[in-house]
Amino acid sequence: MKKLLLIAVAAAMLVGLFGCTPPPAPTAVPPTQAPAQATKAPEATKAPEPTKPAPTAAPAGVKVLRINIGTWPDVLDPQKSSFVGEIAVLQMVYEGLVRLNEKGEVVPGAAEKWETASDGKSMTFHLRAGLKRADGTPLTAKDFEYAYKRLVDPRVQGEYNTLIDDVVGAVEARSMDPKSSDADIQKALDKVGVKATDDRTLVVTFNKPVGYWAMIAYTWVGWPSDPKIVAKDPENWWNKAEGHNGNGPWKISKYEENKTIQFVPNPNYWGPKPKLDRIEFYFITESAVSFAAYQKGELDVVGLAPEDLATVQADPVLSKEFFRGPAAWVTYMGMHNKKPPFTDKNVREAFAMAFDRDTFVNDILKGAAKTYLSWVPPGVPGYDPTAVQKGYDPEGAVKKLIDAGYGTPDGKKVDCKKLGELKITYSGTSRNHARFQYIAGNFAKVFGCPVTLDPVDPTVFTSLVKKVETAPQIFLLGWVQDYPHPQNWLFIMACDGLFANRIGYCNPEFDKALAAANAETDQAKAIELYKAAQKIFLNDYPGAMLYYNENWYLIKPYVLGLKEHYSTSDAGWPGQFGPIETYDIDLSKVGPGYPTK
Amino acid sequence: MSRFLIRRALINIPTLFVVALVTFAIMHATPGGPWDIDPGKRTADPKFQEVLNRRYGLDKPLFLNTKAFEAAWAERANPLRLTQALLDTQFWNYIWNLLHGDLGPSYRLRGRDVQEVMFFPESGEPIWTSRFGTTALIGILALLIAVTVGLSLGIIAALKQNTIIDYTSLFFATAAYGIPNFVLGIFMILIFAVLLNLVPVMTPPIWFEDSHAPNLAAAFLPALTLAVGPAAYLARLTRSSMLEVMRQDYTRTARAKGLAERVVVGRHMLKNALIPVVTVLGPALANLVTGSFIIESLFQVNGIGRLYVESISRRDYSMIMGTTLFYALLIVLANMSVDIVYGVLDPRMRMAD
Repeated sequence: MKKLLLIAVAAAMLVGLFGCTPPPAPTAVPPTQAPAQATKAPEATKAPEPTKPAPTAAPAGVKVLRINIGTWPDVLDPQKSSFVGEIAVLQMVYEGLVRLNEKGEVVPGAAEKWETASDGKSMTFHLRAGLKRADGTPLTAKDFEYAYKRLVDPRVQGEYNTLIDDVVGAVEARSMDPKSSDADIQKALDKVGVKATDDRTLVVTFNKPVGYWAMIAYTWVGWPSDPKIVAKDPENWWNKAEGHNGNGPWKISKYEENKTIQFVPNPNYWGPKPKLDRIEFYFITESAVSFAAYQKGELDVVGLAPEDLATVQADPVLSKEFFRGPAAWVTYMGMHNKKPPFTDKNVREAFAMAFDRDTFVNDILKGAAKTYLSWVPPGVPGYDPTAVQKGYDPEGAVKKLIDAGYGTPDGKKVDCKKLGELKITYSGTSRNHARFQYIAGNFAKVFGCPVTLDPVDPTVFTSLVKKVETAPQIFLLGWVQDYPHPQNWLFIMACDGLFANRIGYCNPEFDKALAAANAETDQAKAIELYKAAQKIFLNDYPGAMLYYNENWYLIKPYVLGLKEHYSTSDAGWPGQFGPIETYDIDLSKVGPGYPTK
Repeated sequence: MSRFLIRRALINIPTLFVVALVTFAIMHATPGGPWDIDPGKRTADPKFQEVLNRRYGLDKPLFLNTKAFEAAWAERANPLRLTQALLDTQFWNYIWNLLHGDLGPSYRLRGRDVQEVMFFPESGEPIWTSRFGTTALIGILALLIAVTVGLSLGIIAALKQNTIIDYTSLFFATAAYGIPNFVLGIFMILIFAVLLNLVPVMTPPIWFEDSHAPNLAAAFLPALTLAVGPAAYLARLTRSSMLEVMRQDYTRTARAKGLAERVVVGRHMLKNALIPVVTVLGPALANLVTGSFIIESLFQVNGIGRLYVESISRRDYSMIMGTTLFYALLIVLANMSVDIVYGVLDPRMRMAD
């Protein structure tokens, strides 16, 4: 279950969040309380004047919310999609067994309740009565069984098909040769531990006790694509409005490739009716264009590119519409644990202490991120302000190295020969050169030892960091969560995990602590166990924690509700995980360009 | 004439083959593959890549399959089998499928074939609303604008040589030719959409939803942006060509005969001055159709140019091959048509052949 991303350096620091390709991971997790976050992000949240969703006597008219999402989806198939923008679209039209709210909590969705067996090895979901798809046909537990089995069908090859590896038979099915006979594949699928025992009950069985599966049940991979439609055109069914006969709160009213997808309320949805009449997603990749469209009143919500920040801050109106919030996206410096001198934990710790994060974030990244010394970011369960690595302390760093035996004989300076060659490898984009020159200079200044810069082609970088054998000595890595749960942040650090593999980190003690947390079915207890595991890995200094990124948006003042329900995430738009049905438009304040029909 | 045409057509085949070969070689020499774009994606998992590679035949050698050849040799297979084994590679399989009119599946737009994405619209919509149709519409509109504006400016400038009119139009032509497309595009949006408020920033659909007729208002701004460069080029070319013709004996003779100025300009000067202009029109159209990638992204036009750019950064091999070959074909055809038109305008060309 992994996916999240490791973003290549380049991207990693990147901030190109909006406008460029969004990082592939959906996520959601909100600041535990919106106001708290406000303090952190002053500009954003001067919780402006009358943005309260007060039901004013609105003038008659149509309420439309127009949002720029960015890149057009590669694929809009719940069992295959992986990008943020794709999931933002699917989430409008489909609903899983459970949903997330903006606080990152699991709340009832198509299932009204669920329970975990006492041994933690199975879960039972009870669906609401009378569920329907948009066309009025009934939706039963069988539809969910179908979706999960389709996910692990080797002929489908969804990018996230490892997400349900805990389910009995899932690994066996998904790793079959896709060219096996249909009968063999069917046999394997029949063994997968997802069963509709009647129309309203779905039982999921696991290989081992699993405590966090309610969160997995939120993820898009189990959202019920319509079997009748998929059967007619298994590969390409999703590329038109009619393909999406979903069970979500909205249905697609307009679908224009590369341009727009628009939604109107789904009359057959079980939940409350939305206040908005229509939501329109646009897919503009050029930030200069989306910015112009926003200024002209053709869009209500857009991401803000770093190059437009100065314009916005200097403008009395726009500066009030600027909104920033943390992203569930943390970047750290990997120091290859199997390559000298970083085989020595003391050296890793010293380098963590030598990194001047404040200068880097404020001057080099222009404030597009917040320095951070822990791993699970604020707003995500398991966030632990007490679990931090050591911050910038140049003298302490030098002392640490000398104490660890890397000093000159007189014990006054670092002996560069003992450290050996130091080399930072990064994806050589123009943006990155300045960043990595700074980092190399920073270490050279603190330790008095030269650091070699090793820029490589972006795709080469990607292929290097894929394997522990080829991973560079020093490099930057980012992680964007898939779902707001500490498990999703920590499993990549286990001995067989994606990241541990890249930096050669493996601590059996951490693995044991993580396994205990994963098996705990009481979530409150589990969170404490995850925190304990996180401390172990932070103390090992497998890397140096650096910063978390921020999302920047412009939101029109007449849009009500979004900011209050911002989630810490790389969602396609702010408020994606909040109660969308309560969002509103104050029609008395809209501009001349606002749609009238 | 027909021998000329046939020879002219045949010579295009090796040209296209070389384009395919070079594109293929460069594309595969560039590090990374279709599943490599994002190190954080599931597809970066080596095991997952193996499966995908096998599925799309990307596990085969690029040009020559010596392993299969040796195996076949050991079996003492006949020469046909031997050749088949040797050529069971990514490149030759691609060429083989190409000869059958199959551009292969897209690696990134999963579940869709390259030719379907390029040439076929959503089911139920008329064929001209496809990506290619959209790109062609904008290209043709741009050509009309470029020719109208470019020729008029050039002719006027030449007739009023060394006056303020001449200098002004020359100045604009030079300036416009120097500004890159994407800068110009943003300017156009700021001027026409934001300042003058004549059109929306977000370009409406190029084809009307109900009638499927072209929405000229929507296509205007992208076409205009695209036309500026070629218009400037045409203006300069027409001007210098006109100036040259003005000094020719036959122009002087026509004047001396006492012909009306309208006839001198229209029949004697223009027809001759346009020969060099016509020769660049074909390639100009091909350029307009193929040069629209950045314009298409800026104006959110769902055309082939955008597809081309995206496919390169995504290492969508089959899509890169498909779009590149198609562009090459357009340019080759454009050049060929120029040769033919040239022959009509100037019979000496045909004779010489």
